[in-house]
Amino acid sequence: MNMPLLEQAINALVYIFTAMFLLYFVALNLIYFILLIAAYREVIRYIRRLRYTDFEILIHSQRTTPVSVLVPAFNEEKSIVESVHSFLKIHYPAFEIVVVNDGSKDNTLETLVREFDLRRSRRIFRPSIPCQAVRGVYVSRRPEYKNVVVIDKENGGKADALNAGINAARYPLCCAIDADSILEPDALLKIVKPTLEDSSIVAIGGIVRIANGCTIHRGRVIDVRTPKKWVPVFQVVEYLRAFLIGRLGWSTINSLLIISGAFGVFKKEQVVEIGGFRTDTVGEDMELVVRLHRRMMERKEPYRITFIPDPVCWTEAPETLRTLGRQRNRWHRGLLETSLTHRILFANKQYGAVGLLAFPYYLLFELLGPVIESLGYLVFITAFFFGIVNLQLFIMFFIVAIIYGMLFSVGAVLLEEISFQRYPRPLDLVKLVLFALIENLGYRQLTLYWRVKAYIDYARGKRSWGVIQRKGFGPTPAT
Amino acid sequence: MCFSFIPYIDELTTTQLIFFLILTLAVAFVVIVLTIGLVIRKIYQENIWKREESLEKLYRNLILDYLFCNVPYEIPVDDVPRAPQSLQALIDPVRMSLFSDRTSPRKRHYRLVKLILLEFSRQLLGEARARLILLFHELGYVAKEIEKLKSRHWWMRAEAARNLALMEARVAMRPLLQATEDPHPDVRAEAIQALFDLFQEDALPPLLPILKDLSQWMVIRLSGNILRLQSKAVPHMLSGLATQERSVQLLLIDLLGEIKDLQAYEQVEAFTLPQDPEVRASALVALGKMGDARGERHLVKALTDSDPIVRLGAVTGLKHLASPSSAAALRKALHDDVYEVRYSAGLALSVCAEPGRQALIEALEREDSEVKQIAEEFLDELGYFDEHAIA
Repeated sequence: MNMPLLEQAINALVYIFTAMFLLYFVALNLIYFILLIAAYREVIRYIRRLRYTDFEILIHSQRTTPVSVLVPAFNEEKSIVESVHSFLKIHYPAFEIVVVNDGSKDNTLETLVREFDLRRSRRIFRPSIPCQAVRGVYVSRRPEYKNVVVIDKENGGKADALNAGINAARYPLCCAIDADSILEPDALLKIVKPTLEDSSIVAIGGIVRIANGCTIHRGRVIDVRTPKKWVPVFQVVEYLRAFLIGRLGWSTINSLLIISGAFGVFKKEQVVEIGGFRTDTVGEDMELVVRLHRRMMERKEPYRITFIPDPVCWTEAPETLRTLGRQRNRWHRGLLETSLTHRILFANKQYGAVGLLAFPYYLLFELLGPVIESLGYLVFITAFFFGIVNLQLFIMFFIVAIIYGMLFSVGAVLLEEISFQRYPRPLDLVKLVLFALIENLGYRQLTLYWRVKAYIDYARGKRSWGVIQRKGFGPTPAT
Repeated sequence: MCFSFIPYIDELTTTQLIFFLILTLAVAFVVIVLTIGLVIRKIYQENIWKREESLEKLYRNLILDYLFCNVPYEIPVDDVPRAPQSLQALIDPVRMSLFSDRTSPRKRHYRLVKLILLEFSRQLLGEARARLILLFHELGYVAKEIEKLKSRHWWMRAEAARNLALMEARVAMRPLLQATEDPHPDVRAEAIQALFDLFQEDALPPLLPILKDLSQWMVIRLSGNILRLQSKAVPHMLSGLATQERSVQLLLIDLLGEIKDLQAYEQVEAFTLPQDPEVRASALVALGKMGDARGERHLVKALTDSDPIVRLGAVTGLKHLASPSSAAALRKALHDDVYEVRYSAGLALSVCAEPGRQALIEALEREDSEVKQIAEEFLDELGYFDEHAIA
C-alpha cells in the first residue's frame, strides 16, 4: 500500500470517528440535560408533596405495611452493632431486622449474640428461593430487641444472603440495606409511603449519601459535613449526580434500572416469584431490577419501579484509591454482566421506555462510555502521531467536554442545595462546587481506567467482589 | 464562512464546535451566577430570622393583647362570627398595621400574621380560641383560603384546605366537600382531614360516597379519623354498610371490628353468611376483634369452609378472640391444606391460654414434621423449651 492511500484511509477513519464521537457527545449531554430537568421537576414535586404528608399518621396506624429490613453481613464485626442500633431507631410501626451472617470469618455472629443477648430459636425457616444452608436462627431474649432476628448461614455471597433474608422475612415488604449503612429514623416511612399510595409499585429506591466526615452518635448522623479526605468528597459529588439526576430522572418515565443494594425496598411476593437475587453476578441489585422490569412487562401487568430522593441511607465510602478502584471495577463488571444477560431488552419496543431508552442508554453511555472515551484519547494520540490532528480543535473540544462535565456535576450539587440542603454550612457548599469543577480533571480519567480494567477482569473470568476495607462507624456508647 | 486557524477540518464541524463553545460558556455563566446566588442565599438564610424578629414581635404583642384582653366575648354559634364593637377596637391596630393606609394588606406582614395566627390555633382552646377564629374572619383570611381552594396549583389548594381546618372555618363545608373530589390526592386527603376536624362524625355521611377504591394511604388517613371518633362514628358506618360497593364494605367492616362497639355486632355477623369470600373473611376477623363470645360459633364453623381466604379469616378472628374453648378446633386447623392457615392456627393457639399451649404440646409430640415445626416455633416463643431444659 502506498503512503498517500494509507494517509487518506487514516484521514477518512479519523473523520468518521470524529463525526461519530461528536454525535455521541451531543447525544450524551442532551440526555444528561433532559435527566437534569426531569429530576429538578421531580424533586420540586416531591418536596411539595412532603409538606402534606403527616408521617405520624403512618406511625400510629395498624394499616401501615410492615417491613422486613434485610441486612446481609459478611465480616462486619466493626460496624454491625452500630448499624443494627441505627436500624432499631427507625420510626416505623411494624418492622423486623433480619441480619444474615453470611458465613463471616470474623466475629460478626459472636458480636451480635453478645450485644443483643441472642439465643438460638426454633423459628421456621422455609426457603421459597434457593440459598446456602442455614446453620441457625437467633432471636433476642430481651424484649427491646424482639424484632431482631439473626440468620447464620454458610457463605454464599451478598445475593445469597439477601435470598436467605427474604426466605426468613415475615412481612410483605423487604428493605435491603448494607450492613455498613445508617438509616435516618424516618427513612422507612418515606420510602414505604409511595407503595401505600400506588399499589402497582413493586420496587422503590432511596438515596444513599456518604457519611464520611459526618458526626455519628448512637447510630444517628447528627452533624452533616463533607468528608475531610479528598477521595470521598469526589464520591459525594458522584453520588449526588447519580442519585439526584440519574436515578430520579429515569424513574420519572418508569425506566429506573438500578436500585442500590445499599437501600431499596421490594415487594417480597414479586421478588420470590422471579426467584430472588441472582447469585452468579456481582451486580445483583441492578440485575434484579432489570429482571423485575422484564417479568412485569412480559406479563403485561401494570407496575412501577420508582425512586424517592429523600429517605436517606448513609454509607461509608472508600477513602483510598485502591479500595475505590476495586469498588468501581466491581460495579462496572456488574453492569456488564446485567447488560449481557438482558441484551434482549436493547431497542426492543416490547419493553417500552426501558427497552427503547433506558437500556440503550446504560449500554451505550454507561457501559461503553469508558471504552469510547478511551478510544477518543487513543485516536487523538494516533492522529497526532500521523500529524493529522488539529490541536486547536482538539483543545477546544476538550474544553467544551470538560465544561459540560463540570456543569452536570455542579448541577447536581445545586439541585441538592435548592432542594434538601443537607449540608448546612456555606463552606461545605463551596467545597462541593469546587470538587464538582475539578472532578473532570484527573478523577474522571482515573475512574475511566478502573472501568476499562473491569472489561479486562471480566474477560479473564474474574467474578469476585474483592476485599473492601471498612473503618466502621465506631462503637455505640454505653447507655 | 472560513476559519483560517483551523485548516484541516470542514467548515460545518468547526461552526458546530464554535456554537457549542459559546453555548457552553453561556450555560456555564448561568450556573456560576446560580451558584453564587445560592451561596449568598445560604448565608442570608442563616440571618433571615433576625430580620423578621422585630416585625414578628410587634404583631405577636398586638395579637396577644387582643386574645387575652378583659373584654368579654361569648363563643358564637354562627358559622361566620361577627366581632362586637368592644373587640373591634383591639382588632383595629392589627388591621391598621397590616394595611397601612392601603386597600390591600402588605404581603410580607399579611403572611407573617397568618403564620402567627396559625401557630396560635394549634395551641389555644376555649374563649381565646374563639377570639382567634374571629380574627381569621375579620382579617379576611378565611375568605382568602376559600378562594385559594380554586387555585390552579394543587399545593395551594391543599394548603388552603389545611388552613381552613386550623381556622375552624365551618363556613367552608361546601368548598371542602368539593375538594374531596379534587384530581390531586393530597388535596383530597387534606380536604377530608379538614372536614373531620371541623365536623367530627357529621363529616362521615357526606364522605361515604367517596370511600370507594381508596389507596392504602387514604385508608390510613381516613381510618385514623374514624377510629378517633370511636362509637360516635358507628351509626353512620352501619348505614354506610348498606352499599353494594365491596371496597367500602371491606373498609367499614374492618373499622367496625377495630372500634369493638357491640351495637355493630349483628350487622357484621350478617356479612359472615355466604357471599364474597373476602368480605366474609373480613367480617370474621372483625367478629374476632370485637371480642364477643357469640362470634366464636361462626369462627369455628368457618374453619371448615371450602375457601382458604375464609378459613384464614376465621383463624385470624380466633387469634383476636383468644378463646381457650376454640383450641380444639384450631388444633384441627393445624392440618389445613394451606400453609398460611396452618401457621396462623399455630399462632392463634399460642394466645389461647393453657388449652392452646396444651394443643401445641400435643402437636409437638404426635404430629408429622411440618405441624411439629409450627408447634415448636410457637412453643419456643412461649418459653416452653427453656422451662423444659430447666426441668
